[in-house]
Amino acid sequence: MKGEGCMIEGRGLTKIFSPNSTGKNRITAVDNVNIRIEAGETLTLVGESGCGKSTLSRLLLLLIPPTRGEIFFEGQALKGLKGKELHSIRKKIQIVPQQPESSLNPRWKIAYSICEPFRIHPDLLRGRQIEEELKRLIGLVGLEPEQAARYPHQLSGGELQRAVIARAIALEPAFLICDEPTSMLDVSTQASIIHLLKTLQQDLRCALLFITHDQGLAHAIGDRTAVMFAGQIVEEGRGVLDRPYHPFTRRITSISDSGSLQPSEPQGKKIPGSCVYYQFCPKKTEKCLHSPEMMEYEDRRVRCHNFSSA
Amino acid sequence: MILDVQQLYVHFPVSSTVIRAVDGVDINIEQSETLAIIGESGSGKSVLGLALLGLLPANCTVNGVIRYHGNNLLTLSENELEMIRGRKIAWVPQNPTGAMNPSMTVGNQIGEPISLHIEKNKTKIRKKVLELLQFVRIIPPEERIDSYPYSFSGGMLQRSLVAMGISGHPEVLVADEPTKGIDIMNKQAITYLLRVLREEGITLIIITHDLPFVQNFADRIAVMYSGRIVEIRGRQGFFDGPLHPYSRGLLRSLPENGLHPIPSGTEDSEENDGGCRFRFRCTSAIERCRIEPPLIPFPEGSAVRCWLYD
Repeated sequence: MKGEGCMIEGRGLTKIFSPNSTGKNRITAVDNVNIRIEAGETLTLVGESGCGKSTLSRLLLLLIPPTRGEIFFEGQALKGLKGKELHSIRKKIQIVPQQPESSLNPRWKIAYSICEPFRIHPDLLRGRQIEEELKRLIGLVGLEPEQAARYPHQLSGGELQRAVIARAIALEPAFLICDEPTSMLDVSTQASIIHLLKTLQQDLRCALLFITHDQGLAHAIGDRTAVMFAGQIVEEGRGVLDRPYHPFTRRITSISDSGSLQPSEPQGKKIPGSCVYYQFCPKKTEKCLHSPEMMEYEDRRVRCHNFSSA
Repeated sequence: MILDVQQLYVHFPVSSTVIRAVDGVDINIEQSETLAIIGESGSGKSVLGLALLGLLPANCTVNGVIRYHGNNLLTLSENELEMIRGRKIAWVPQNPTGAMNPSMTVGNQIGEPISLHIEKNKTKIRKKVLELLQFVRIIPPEERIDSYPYSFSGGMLQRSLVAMGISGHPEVLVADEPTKGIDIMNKQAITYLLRVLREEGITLIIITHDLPFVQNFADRIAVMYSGRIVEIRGRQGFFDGPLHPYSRGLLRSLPENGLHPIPSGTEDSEENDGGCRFRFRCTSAIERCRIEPPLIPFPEGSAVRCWLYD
């Protein structure tokens, strides 16, 4: 099923980190994940800290190689690609990180940072063209030319995030990952950054992977939502947060901000081969000792033996 | 009334100009209430919080009165302040990673306020710290007490800071952005903790721009803009029908209300010309706004700084 507009696809992506050479304490950060995003589509990825969201995004950014699994970009398998070929694909995949201040060189002026992609890919634009493109980019993201002449410490968080977005779209990416781009910003700045990202996405027709903890935000911007737990995507589809099927999704969507619920704790020891949610699940049965496969149900994909749509 | 702030000014001289971080704030805080101070980055809310603890940097000028049980905190000596700070009025800083000493175990850091204010016996302090860790759900406490901050997740560090804040049994706890950048499960845990503390009768001052977090939680909301309080309301009234155009803008910025950002101001909006400071971004601005409105009282202790309600 390789659709016309499929921009990026990961099949069976697995990433295992081995902190030492003996193979003990292995951490499976991403566990057999299938993910695909169409051109012009937004997939939001929600999940707790440490569930593997960022590792998955680093795999898709081709920053780290998967232990198992394959990535396809515009239908082309990336396995085995090296050097030059990979270099030209990389420019089409960009990221807007959570903390703009740590992704900008503090000793560079903002304008110099925004133009870095043109220095890495020097065959695209030259001299005067770069200056004109810079002007266009900072106008596009709503910065003043005077702000681009400053250093990062002289700008606010929202302004820095605009600068990082300008840099990310400089090469007109086909796939943009936004890793909680607004979690450190206040609500009004958040709203304007989200508007900016959505407008740019429409103009560029790029695929967008939006990582967030904020379900309200996931609701407002995503076409589809994927929910991640312990390295696996446990549920994915449209309206996942409105009509959750998986027990974990049910849990995170039933949390009100009232905090009247006590935080739940794992029950018993982790059993090898069991469902990743086994220790936490209120609906577990004997079947759950064997990890479930992803199941298709109407337009939903759910990884649970006992899910219910009611 | 536990804290009474009158005409508080905190100004920072910066090269040729003066930053008026807090510029004439009046607010009463009642015993056992939960007050949320909201506003955008740079509105002065953290500086106001630091002023309540006498933790402002030496390069600023402070004027006004902060009365705590009748004593003006601003005229106390450093020794007298030591008896209150951390013991009676405690602080949970933002940015948990930066607030912890990386070379000291978490247990020793949580125990520090206890050893300064209450108890010198090391065995007793350790027992108390174990209880606190259990309370903030860092479990099992025996295994975690001697860990260093680097081995904790962001949410665990945030909860450790709450444990540190309450370890001296304070009457007032000031928490600065306790939910910034943490995921929904950790946010739930923090909300739960603060709820328990609130039920125990502690006075909570929560500085935040996380509106959903305070929506089911705070008794009163104070909205700050450009160093001033522009609206004080009961929680219900605020979320049902905010009065100040800035407050309305904040609520409209939320994802569930359509992510409408507040228009950004022009360059002159940074100048303080004696008029309403929000008028450059305000869609309801009228001629009269060239003169700054006073806080106009409303029933039940509410007030709003806007001519629309004169």
